[in-house]
Amino acid sequence: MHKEWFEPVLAQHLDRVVAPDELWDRVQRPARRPRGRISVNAAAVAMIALAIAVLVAWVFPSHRNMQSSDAVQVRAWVRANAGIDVPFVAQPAGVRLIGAGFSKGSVEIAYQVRDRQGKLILGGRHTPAGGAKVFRGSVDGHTFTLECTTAEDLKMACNLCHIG
Amino acid sequence: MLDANDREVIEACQRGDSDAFRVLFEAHKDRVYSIALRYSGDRAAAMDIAQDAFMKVLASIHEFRRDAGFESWLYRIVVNTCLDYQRRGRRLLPFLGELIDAVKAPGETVLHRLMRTEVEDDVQRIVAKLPDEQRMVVVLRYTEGLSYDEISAILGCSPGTVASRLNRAHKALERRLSHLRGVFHA
Repeated sequence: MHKEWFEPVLAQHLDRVVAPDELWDRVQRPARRPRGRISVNAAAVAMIALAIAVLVAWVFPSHRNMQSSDAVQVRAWVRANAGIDVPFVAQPAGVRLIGAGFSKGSVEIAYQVRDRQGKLILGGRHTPAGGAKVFRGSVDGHTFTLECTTAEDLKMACNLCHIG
Repeated sequence: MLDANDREVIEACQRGDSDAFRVLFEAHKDRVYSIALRYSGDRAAAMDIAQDAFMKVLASIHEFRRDAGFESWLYRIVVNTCLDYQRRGRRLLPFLGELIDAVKAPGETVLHRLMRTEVEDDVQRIVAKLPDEQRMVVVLRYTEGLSYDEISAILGCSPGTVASRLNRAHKALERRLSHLRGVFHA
């Protein structure tokens, strides 16, 4: 096949390069990236888009979910699907992650403390099950709810993101 | 199609094996980063794109069908991540870091390194001015050496469309790279 004179130039100067070593660190421990200033319009559009997404998720509950006990994998799924970075500890003491999914416009991360299940719910208005022990908080503008069967479990569930 | 070793690694990733994901990462990191770099023309942007692409791979590896081609699946994720990055309005600019790399490269005189860097910057800058669709075809063709059929499968368009985009890109590149013609036309 006839080749134009510039094709070897492109092949030479657009060739494959070696990825920097720090890429693995970035994938393993995703850091918050500096963001530019957000205009009022962009913020308004984002709020409307979020409201629509929550409404759609509420009306048409999504079946998207994943199962994994690997903190890196669950973190990646939540980040990719909900845009929220949850800094899970790699091997939380006394707690085992089970998976994550969407439920009524919220992201639910399931975990197990001893033989009992608990939930970490991100965003949305969550109504806890009767008798459940809950802790509500907010980090970086994201509300979250930890829900467990007992107060001891709730304390243990903090280990998902905190050491000790 | 996957060979037995690839299949084992992917199956292990799907079971949540972190070590297997590291193996997968090592096997494909240069490919992912190179596409991101050649498309964005910016090292920081390329790191962001490559990071996002691997996070998506990790998050959706359980959706990968084992009878499908893993590389095509990976390429689609990288391409979509590049396009998303562009759509989000992040700045994609040529970078100065190439100059530092060139000065560090062994076996060349400083003059050669600077010339090579200048040409590379030039090429990168000119490619960066192409429309998104043409630029992606150029990157997949020249960075990855893919055929028209392979590119069309990744981008979800016909081989004719790939040929047409590449043809338009070639015309633009020939005009814009004309100052290099004497240097490379021996």
